[in-house]
This record gives sequence, structure tokens and C-alpha cells, in this order.
Amino acid sequence: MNALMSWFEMHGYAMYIWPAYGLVFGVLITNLVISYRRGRRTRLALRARVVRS
Amino acid sequence: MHDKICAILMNELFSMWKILYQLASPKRFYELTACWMPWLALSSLFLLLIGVIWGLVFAPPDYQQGDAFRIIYVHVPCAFLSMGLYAWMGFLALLCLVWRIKLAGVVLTACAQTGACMTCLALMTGSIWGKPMWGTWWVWDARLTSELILLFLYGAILAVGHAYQNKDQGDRMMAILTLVGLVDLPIIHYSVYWWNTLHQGTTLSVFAKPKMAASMVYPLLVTIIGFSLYCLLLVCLKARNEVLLRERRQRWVSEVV
Repeated sequence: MNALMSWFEMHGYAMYIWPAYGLVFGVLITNLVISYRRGRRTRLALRARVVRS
Repeated sequence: MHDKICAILMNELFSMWKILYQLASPKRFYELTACWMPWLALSSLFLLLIGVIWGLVFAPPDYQQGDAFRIIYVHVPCAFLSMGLYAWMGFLALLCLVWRIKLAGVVLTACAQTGACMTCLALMTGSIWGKPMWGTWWVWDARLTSELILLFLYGAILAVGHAYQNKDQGDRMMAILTLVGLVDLPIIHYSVYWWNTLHQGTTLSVFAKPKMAASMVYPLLVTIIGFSLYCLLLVCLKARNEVLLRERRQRWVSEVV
């Protein structure tokens, strides 16, 4: 448990390292989800247009 | 013998051009990327997990910077891709302007969006790393300033693309601006040699031995490959969406959706 806590504290640099990783992976995941959902929305809209015509 | 080699080379060049030409068809691009995407997603996820766990848990702390150096595993891949994507955009700009390949404009836009995001992340993680090491979040250092100019360039390219109603015209203007902005890439790369900067010199080079220990370099290489595959996936996702929108009046789109 102590070893895990010491690793998590990163010898006093935790307040810099974890926000940096959180920021990067947060942005990467958000970007991917937004692009995927936008693509799905486009396909659905185009499908609706094809069905209508 | 010489003629034979020339013939083989010409043949290879012709087949490469044929592949490129086939890829330039929006329909073919849409079909091909559909096969690539699951593999890209899985391999990038796998490599990012391995690289980050290796870098955060198993790589030893730096003798000067201690554990703070671990930000390198997200900062360097982002910075590498911010420049790598721009260089790739330069090639796409040539395809767009010289050969008038429409798909190049689509991929150029997707690359610009992804590159802007990577540049922003590189600047932010660099700033977070700079605070404990330099004692400040930001300095008007040559490397940092030239990277900030790259972010502005990405912003300008995207703004120009959005400003035109005619997509082809917008793509051409984006391509011209991309080619003009290429001059920033060598400035970013050599800024640490040309000026006295707070930013450290190059750690990784293609032709020189790395200045870091192998136990620190390998996880970095893994994360760089993981980030590159992620960017390829994101560019494919964005470009496929744009292809569908631009080609919506074509029959193949109705068949696909």
C-alpha cells in the first residue's frame, strides 16, 4: 500500500504529472468520441435522405 | 543491366502511382479505411497502454529531473506529431495543387484539425513540465514561440478552409497557406541550436544515438508509434465523414449508407 502511494505521489511531482496525462488522454478520447458520433449522425442523415427519395 | 534496373524502377514507380491513384478515388478511400480502422484502433490502444504503463511504472526516474521527466511520454509524441502532421500536410498540399486530387483537400482538413489538437497538447504539457523544471509556465523561448506560431498556422489554415463556400477553392487556399507555413518546421527543429534556449536540445534523432538510457527510450518510442496510429485513426474518421458529406449526391454514397 505504501509503495503504491509513493508511486502515486511521484516524489512530489504528482500535481504536474497526473494533470498532464489526464489532459492528454481526456482530449484524445473526447476527440475520438466526437468524430465517431459526427460520422454516425452524417450516415443517419444521409440514410434518411435516401429513404425519403 | 542498367536498362533492366531502369525498367524495374519504372515499373515500381508506375505501380506506386497506380495505388495512389486508386486511393484518390473517394469511394475506394471509404472502403479501404473501413477495413483499416478496427486494426488502427486496436493497435493504437494496445501500444498506448503498453507505452504509458512502461513509462510510468517501469522506467527509472531521471537523475536530474526525478519523476517529473515522465511527462516526456505524452509531451514528445504530441510535439512530434504536431510537426509530422504538418509535414504530411505539405505533401497533401502538393497533391491538391499540382494533381488537383480532391481527396487530398479532404485529408488536408482532417490533418489540420488533428495537428492543431496535437500542437495545443504539446504546448500545454510542455508548460506543465516547465513549471517544476524552469520555475515558470511560459517563456518567450525560440522553441516555444515557434511552436506557438505553428498553432496559429493551423488555426489560420482551418479558418481559411471554413471561409470559402466553394470547397475546392477553399482546399486550394488551404494548400497554398500550408506550403507557405512549411518554413516554420525547420525553425522549430533547429531553434534549440540557433538560439540559446531554456528548452533542452534534441533527445531523439533518426541518425544519432539517443541521449537517454534505453530503459527510458523504448517506452517513448512505443508511445510515439501509438500516438501516430491514433492520429491516423482520427484523420481517417474525420476524412470519411467529410467524404460522405461532399459526395452525398453520388450513387455509391446512397449504396453505402
